[in-house]
Amino acid sequence: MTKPVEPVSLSARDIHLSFGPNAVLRGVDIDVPAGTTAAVIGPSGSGKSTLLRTLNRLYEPDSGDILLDGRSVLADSPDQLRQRIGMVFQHFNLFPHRSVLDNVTLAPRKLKRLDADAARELGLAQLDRVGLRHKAEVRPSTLSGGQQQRVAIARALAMAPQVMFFDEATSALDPELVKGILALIADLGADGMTMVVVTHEMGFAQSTSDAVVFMDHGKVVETGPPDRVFGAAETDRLKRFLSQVL
Amino acid sequence: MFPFPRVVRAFVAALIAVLVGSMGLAAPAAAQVDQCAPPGIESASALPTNLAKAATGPGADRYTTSSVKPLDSIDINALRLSTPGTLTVGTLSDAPPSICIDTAGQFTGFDNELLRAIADRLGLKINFVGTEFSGLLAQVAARRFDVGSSSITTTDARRQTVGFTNGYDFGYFSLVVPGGSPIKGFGDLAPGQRIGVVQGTVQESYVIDTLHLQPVKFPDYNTVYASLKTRQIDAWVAPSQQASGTVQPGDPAQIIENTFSLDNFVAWAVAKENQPLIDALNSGLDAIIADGTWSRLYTDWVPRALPPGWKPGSKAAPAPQLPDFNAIAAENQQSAPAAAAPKSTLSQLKDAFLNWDLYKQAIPDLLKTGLPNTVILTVCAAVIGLVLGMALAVAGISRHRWLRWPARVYTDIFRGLPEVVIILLIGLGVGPIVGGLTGNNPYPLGIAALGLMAAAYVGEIFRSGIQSVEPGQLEASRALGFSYPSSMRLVVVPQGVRRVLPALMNQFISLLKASSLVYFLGLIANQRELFQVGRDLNAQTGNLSPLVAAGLFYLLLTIPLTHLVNFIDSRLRRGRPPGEEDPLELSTSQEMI
Repeated sequence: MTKPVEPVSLSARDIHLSFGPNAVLRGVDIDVPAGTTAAVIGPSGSGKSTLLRTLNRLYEPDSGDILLDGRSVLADSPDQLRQRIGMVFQHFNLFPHRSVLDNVTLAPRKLKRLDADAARELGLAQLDRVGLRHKAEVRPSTLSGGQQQRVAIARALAMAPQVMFFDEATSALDPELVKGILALIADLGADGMTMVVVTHEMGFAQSTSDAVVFMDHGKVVETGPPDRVFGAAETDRLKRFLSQVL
Repeated sequence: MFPFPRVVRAFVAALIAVLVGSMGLAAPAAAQVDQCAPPGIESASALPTNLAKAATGPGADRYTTSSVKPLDSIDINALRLSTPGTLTVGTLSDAPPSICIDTAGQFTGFDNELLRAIADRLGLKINFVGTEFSGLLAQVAARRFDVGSSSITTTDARRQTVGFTNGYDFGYFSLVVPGGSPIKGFGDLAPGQRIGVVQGTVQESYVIDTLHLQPVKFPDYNTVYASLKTRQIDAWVAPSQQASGTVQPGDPAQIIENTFSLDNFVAWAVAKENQPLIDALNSGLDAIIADGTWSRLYTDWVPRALPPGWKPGSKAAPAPQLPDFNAIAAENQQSAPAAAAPKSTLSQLKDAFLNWDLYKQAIPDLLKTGLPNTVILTVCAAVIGLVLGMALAVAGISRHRWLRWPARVYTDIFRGLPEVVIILLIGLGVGPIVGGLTGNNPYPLGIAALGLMAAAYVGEIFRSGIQSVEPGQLEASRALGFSYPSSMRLVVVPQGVRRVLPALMNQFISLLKASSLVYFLGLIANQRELFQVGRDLNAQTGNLSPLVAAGLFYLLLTIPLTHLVNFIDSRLRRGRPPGEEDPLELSTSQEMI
């Protein structure tokens, strides 16, 4: 059922990005080895979400390099790059004018030229994976937040991405729905997906990630395995941040 | 389609019942008033008494030719007609007995019957096209029409735009006042009085230049007369043909004095450079004067004593043989019954708006001619408006300046200009350029003008709809790997359009109403849309009921559409579940493990 995907490594080198006079990313380096999960934490406005959107070139970096599987992707078409990187958003961003199944199959049909039957089969398989096959024909607006986020995950997975990005995927959910989504993300990681997870869920970062990246003011301040980051923080800024959120 | 709510269906049914019922329930037919029929010799009028101003008129004539070419020397292939072998004539429908449209939908009247006789003598077919006076001379100059026929007095100002034939009629001005008015003649007109004239006519310049007064300007003769009858103006300076054709016995108005046209005569307008056609029409005019046709038509349609020193045609044309109108008029004066008792204001209003006979007369034409044309014009223009509007909307939000700016400029211009101006600009400006493509038929040009105008509004509606779609939608689509154009096409635009359906429907209704303006470009009788069908019948009868009937047809179209809009709107609102609106509120509460 799970598509055989070759996990690849993802790296960024000295990424800079400004919006007008505001420097949002000020020299970010990150390394996510193939098949591992990096959890990105940090205070609001530290540049976490912007970093994700720069890594898949929704925003073009002013300088620096992005490497997928060890190869720079900046010379390629950004549309091609984004087909290889799945992304899940805080507010789901499902297409409200299309059915749940159409949400999942739109990109494979139009971008991978799958015929209607193959796309339907693929879409239903992805919905099965997130436990929503029975909702295939309804509009997304009739689903709960947790269900909508599951559809969004299925939509991203339908393109068989080599890397997955999660941008605060549980922040807009009712508390009782958070656990299910986090479990789904953890399963993906266990299946060997390369993932970058921006999250406020410190428990999730601690228990599920292979590396934790702490960002503040557009820079990576501290990075390391979860035990060290949460157990033996080196910088004052990380200590202060952890004392506020834990 | 969406099912109509029951209340809408009931309303439409009631409206149809009213329309249909009015046909059956109409009172037994009273004598139909047709102002577009020849009044006959009995209506002859004598020479007006006040002719003091005539000295500068025909006496100073510099334009009448001394003779004409022999009729058999005219080569009809050299006349440079827009359709070879056919004389295409621009005329009006609302100035009986000179120019009007009769109950059979034919353009007729004294001027047009003369022209028909001349065309016959020349061996030409003739085709009449209705238009507005404001656009007539420009359309003649632009060769959209070969001839303009509209009791046009040949002033020097007009000679700068077009050429004229020899005179076939002359102009008296009549002073029309409401019953019991203290104004007894032109000499009583004074500043502070509301003196009505039709815009752009010789009467307007007479009031301004000769009487040195400021007139109240009206678009057409019916409106000015309706205003006089309801005493919204104090006097009307009218061409006397129109005055005698319009003022009916029993009306609360009377013609109290006539004067002679200051200078020059009434003639047909022809493009200045088309001298062969002017020569041919002059020859034809002299020919029908010589064989008595002019006298016969004159006696039938506009029997008045000729002013001293004036005769129709070239200086070489024989003097027409006419009955002694002075004597006939004097006789009629004696035998005329006492004027009918004036009607009350209320019954005047009832006559003017609620004449069931006229409803009955108007509805078949409105249904067969007006309704299909209005629908065709509106739907075709709407298609152009939607396609072009979408292009404008997408260009308007583009990141590229060279797409955004043209869209902006287009929208500013077409949204900022009055509808009539756009229609005249496209029809008269672009018309001659694409004449070969459209065969000089203004119908497609009217559709184009309406469509271009609608596009500006529709583009803004689409743009607001597209911009109201959450940025996350575009972001999600692009994150999947779709290009910007694909994302717009598949994700953003479909959602944006859904949101603005009610606004689009309102725009469609505006377009439906604006379709009546196409008449400014000149349409043949079976191209007329609802408003013009009503207006022509209104012009024939001087009664406003046909216009009210046309208005009911508009309601028949617009009210169901309006309710459809409201229905769609509420459906879209209900369709959005609560909770989806604002997920942000929840996001702050649960960052902790």
